[in-house]
Amino acid sequence: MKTKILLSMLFGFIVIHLGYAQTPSQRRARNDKPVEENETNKPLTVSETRKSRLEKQKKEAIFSDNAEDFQLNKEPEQWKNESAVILGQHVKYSYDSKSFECIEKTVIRRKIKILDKIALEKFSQFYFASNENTDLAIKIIKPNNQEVDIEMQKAIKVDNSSDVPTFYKNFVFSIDSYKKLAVPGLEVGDIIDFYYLFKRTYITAKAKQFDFPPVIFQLANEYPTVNQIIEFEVERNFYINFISLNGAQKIVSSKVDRKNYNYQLTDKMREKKLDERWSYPFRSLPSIKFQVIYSSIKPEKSNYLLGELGTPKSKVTPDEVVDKAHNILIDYSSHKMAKGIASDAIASLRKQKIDYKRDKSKALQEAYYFFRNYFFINNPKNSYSIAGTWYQSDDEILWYPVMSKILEELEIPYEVGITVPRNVGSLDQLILIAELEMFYIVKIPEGDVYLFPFSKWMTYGQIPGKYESNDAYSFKPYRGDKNANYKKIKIPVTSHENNTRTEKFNITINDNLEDIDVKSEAIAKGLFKYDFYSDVIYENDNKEMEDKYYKKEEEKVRGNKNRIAEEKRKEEEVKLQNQEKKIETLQKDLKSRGFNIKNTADFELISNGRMPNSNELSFKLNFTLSNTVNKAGKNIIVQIGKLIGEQATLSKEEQNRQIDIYHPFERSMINTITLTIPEGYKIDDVSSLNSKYENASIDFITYAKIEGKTLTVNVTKSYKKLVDSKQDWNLYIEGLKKATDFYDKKVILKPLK
Amino acid sequence: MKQFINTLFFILLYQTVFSQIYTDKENVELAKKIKAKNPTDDFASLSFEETYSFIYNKYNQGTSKIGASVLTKFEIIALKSNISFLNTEFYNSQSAISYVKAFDKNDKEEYINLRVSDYESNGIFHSDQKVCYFNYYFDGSGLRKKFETKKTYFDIKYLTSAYFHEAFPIKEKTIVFYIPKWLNVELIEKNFEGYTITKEITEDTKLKATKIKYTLKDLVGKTSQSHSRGPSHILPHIVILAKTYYDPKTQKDEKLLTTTADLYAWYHSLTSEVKNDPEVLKSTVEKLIADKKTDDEKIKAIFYWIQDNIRYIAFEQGIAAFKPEAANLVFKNRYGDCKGMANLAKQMYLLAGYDAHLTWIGTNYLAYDYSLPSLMVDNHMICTIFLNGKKIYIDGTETFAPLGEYAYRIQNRPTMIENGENFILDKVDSNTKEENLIVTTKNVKVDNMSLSGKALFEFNGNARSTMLYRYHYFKADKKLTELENYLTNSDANVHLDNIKMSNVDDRKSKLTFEGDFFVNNAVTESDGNLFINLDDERSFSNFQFDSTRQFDYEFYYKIYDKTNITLEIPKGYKIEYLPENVSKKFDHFSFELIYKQVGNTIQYHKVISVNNAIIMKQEFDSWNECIKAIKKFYKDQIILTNK
Repeated sequence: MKTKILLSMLFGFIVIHLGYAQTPSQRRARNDKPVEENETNKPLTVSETRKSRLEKQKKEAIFSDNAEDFQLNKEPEQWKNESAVILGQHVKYSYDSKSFECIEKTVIRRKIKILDKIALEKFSQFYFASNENTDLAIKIIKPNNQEVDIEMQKAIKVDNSSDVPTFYKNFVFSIDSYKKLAVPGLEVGDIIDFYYLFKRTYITAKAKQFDFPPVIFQLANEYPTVNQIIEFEVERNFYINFISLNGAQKIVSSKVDRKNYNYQLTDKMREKKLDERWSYPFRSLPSIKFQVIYSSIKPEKSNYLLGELGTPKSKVTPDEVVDKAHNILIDYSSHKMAKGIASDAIASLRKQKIDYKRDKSKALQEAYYFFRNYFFINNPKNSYSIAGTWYQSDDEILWYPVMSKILEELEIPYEVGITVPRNVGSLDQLILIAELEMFYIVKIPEGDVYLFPFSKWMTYGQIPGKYESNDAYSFKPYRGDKNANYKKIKIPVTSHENNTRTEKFNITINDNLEDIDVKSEAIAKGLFKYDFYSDVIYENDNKEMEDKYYKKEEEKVRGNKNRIAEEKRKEEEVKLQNQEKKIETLQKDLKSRGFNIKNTADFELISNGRMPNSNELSFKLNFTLSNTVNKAGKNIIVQIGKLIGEQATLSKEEQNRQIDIYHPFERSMINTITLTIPEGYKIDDVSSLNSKYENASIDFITYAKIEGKTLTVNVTKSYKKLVDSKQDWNLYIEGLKKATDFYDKKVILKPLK
Repeated sequence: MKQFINTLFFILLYQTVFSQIYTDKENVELAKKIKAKNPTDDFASLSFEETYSFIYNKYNQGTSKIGASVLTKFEIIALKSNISFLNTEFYNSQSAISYVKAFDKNDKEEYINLRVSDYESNGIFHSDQKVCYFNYYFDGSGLRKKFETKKTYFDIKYLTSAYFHEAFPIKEKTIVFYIPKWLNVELIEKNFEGYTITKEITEDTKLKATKIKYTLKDLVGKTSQSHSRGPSHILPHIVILAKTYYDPKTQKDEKLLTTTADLYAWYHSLTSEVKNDPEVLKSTVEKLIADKKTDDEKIKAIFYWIQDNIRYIAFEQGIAAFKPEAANLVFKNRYGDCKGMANLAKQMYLLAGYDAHLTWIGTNYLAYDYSLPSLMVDNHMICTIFLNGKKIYIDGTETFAPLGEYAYRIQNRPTMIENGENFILDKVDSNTKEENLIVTTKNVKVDNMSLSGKALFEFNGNARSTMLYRYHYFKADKKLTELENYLTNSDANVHLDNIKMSNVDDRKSKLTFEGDFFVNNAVTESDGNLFINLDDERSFSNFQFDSTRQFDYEFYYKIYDKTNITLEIPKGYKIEYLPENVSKKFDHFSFELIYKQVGNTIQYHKVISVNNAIIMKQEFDSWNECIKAIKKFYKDQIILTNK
């Protein structure tokens, strides 16, 4: 595999190296007469004309297929004020096999009525993926029903795929070869009708099992859709897993022939995609998910959740899930590196003089961090990262067997947990093996500890937000084929008191009585830490803090003294640059929260929050804010509310909630603002800064007091539930309104008379 | 095999990325010194030399008999660690990059990983412009690297100018021309004022050429800043006009682009080759003017049809950059570039019986006029109608322009109007700032710590065209929300409800939006006093130029904004304090912000004007002084107190 990558990179180098300059023919003698006609309007050559004729025939065949589903030319009255309306859409997924390969073909036919200039701009410069595995045909239907075929030969290659608008990239899986076409004659009121095919071939070399990539999508499109059909054509020896979610229509068997099964789903009058804050569309909006698998192994022996040939599987039993999870872990356990890494972890406990027979909690924690250190800092694989050959999937394959071997070595009992990430679906809707996530529930005297495959930031026992409060199955690991006893459990959830972001602002009004200087300290705890890690801790910081923890001596660099000194200098320079970058990032973050930052300085990391001896992530930063102080005559007006940062403001449309509310995690944002009252001024009354609003979902509590020359304001905003029903949106409207009102609060500093 | 590939790969990688690891203290200190002077730059050049030579191509015809080459040698010093230096060289069908080289410290050529890509410049759908580029990685500050590139122009007329500035600071830039005796080249020095540029003229007997060497020291890095004027307005440069050459074949001096007539002749030769098929347009033109009686109505009907129906999509491939697309093709495609649209307009007006002409023009991005016979004088094409002794310019690329009102970018710009074998030179009319008047009128009263009332927004001239464009390009399903957001500056506290508007399809009349106006939390109550912030817009309050702004600032059009707010004083209250008025007037801009009591109301008047749409760099201090004053004014609040 690696040889292949190296070869292709090498090829890339050579090709790029040769391709820079003009060819000799381009350097030929020229005169000042036209040297090139505009390519787009060049007359077609004989072969192009033939190609064009064939294309026309092909187009006629394509556009006449399913003709009855694409009859409509007028948008429904209710959508006449939309930017565009999809009058008809047919998406067909076909799965096929040949002796050494599996083939996935997707065909999209879309008929879109263009109703405004934005949509016209979007479709008149049409981008599409283009290689030997794609095909595209476009026609325009004018308001008088006249049909105009668009010649695709005039499309131009796009050199840089970053020039392709995201809208067009979303159509297809990753293809880097694009073309663009200026669609002639397109006007508002026209219909653009296109057919788009893409094919992927997977070399399977007679493998016993092969899974096509899983697919999950919403039925709603970017524009409202009048009619849509989603069709599957699956070879008879393929399995299909399929589920309709949240009110999406069911699929029905539409056709069976000698070679294939066909299924389809018909959907009508679908509103455009909805985008609401704090939502997981796949949990609330009509969606479907499916996967097609080829397997010559019997379903019960396979690692996939297979049903019966010819019948889409849309339900799996907990027993099946547990069985598959068990099989997967057995497969992983043979990883050749697992035993060695686990032994090294145990050896490191001995080196640290930890009595791992007695102090199991400490031992497990230290072994966990040793393993994390191995993975992200000392892993020899990291040396390859420069060539981009670091595979995330390797992590999980290794994580499970190493952790289980460590647990076995430490004689700590554990269970295996199975769940589905909250943003993807719920456990009872699990249908694809790719949704399944495993973890360990470790039984130590202090209580259960949940261990999930880690990232470089994840701390011991941390449950990622996307799994909190999820339903899960748990079972004791077992050997052999016997069915395990599973139980249904709920993964614990951390409360808003555990996940906090505290910002302490110590502010003084500048001598110019216009700006304010802020000495700030931010403290993040629990899941909130993950919002900050990558902004304030870089790779080299991680390495440094871990080397220090493991008392790793600095590697002695041999060789020329000057060279060593030079390396050291560069390292120091990079550190300084990183410090600047961190300040820049934090400044951007503050700006995005509505702070009028004038300048920022003096970043200092106080606590890293990712090592065994550090619970919280905290750092200091000094900055100056402008536009936060106003005047009225001799009075100074401090916009004290602005110092908690911009608050979520609901637009008019957002007042009506359409889908349930999902938060990434329960959390509290705490602000402590301490203002030094300037000499010669007083504050009479701060009662308007005191407020208390609490309901089941959201709290917003403020408390202000004056002590001597200091005004202190404490503000706490908490989201107390992970999931809320849309019926409870009113609680949010009220709570958020309290916060936005406070954001506009001011205190008036009056001159002492 | 595997081992061999691995080894080869690492050799290549080593050569590309890690070829330098040593530097000396002197260079580190030098980098520090340069960085201190240029804190935003990551690289600098210690020397940068461009040498222009001219070539006689005996087999070519016309102006391509003479070609040119530019040899560029420069040395880069890194001012930071771990950074990648990106060098770009542009070329197209009229030029080529002959080579790009890098040298190690022993001046031995070393490998660089060159790449080539199409270059998509803003607004051009497709062109033949390509970029040849490489990244060079510097892992420590103070590291130095020498590079050399050579670019060849196949035809002298495409080599138009030489600039001193680059994207990074340069210690010393030299531009050298070797002008052979057989070539008559005029070098015109532009924007040299304020720069110490030395010029040396010597004779190179070996090359039989005159050597002209320009030197400029300590150049700042040119950054791309929004609203900057085109480089020809602000940067020192040399215009290259190759006029005649001695042709040994004919044994006499032959013309290149000697006069504007030569330039026109070439342009005209291209436009004459365009094969229009006006028949295709005929029925549309007839339909458009069928019920129109006056010339004004007929001309408008065609002009507005083009604006509404032809989209700007530009192809600049080879000669297509200069030759218009046939009118029938633009008509059929419903798209074209400026030349295609101008040509379509001309053909449609000819069919309608008007005297229409193609017209070349340089937008205000360019600083030149037609006294220079050079391709760089123009970058745009429009159509001119001669009617009753007057000229009416038709710019097909506009989208919401009324007839006779011109976009700021072409105002006052010289035109070259096609007139058979001859041409006519003229100028587009300019408008006044008063014609672009925006008036905001609000009548409000205090309503439970908020302000509520009515608001009216009026747009005229170029401000109206811009606003109409904006309005029509708000998404259909979100039009009103986006309009409200625009008119309230997306301030969550400000609302404009029940919006009524004038006819948004009328390009000529005053454009108005009015509605119920509400500003939440605009009033603070304390101790019987009301503190009121009346101006929710606080326009221009963040419009200061700091030291990083390198060049003049140019607005989209001349600014003349008026705001009138009337506040009804609540019963039982009187004025305790009104902020001090601001009145700042300079030659090219002025700010006036005034509060006054009129009966039981406070009236606020604000007038901001920028007379010719440009704030020159030398005016930045005066401008900043104004902004400081208005900022102070905005921060100051009205106090009403209990009677």
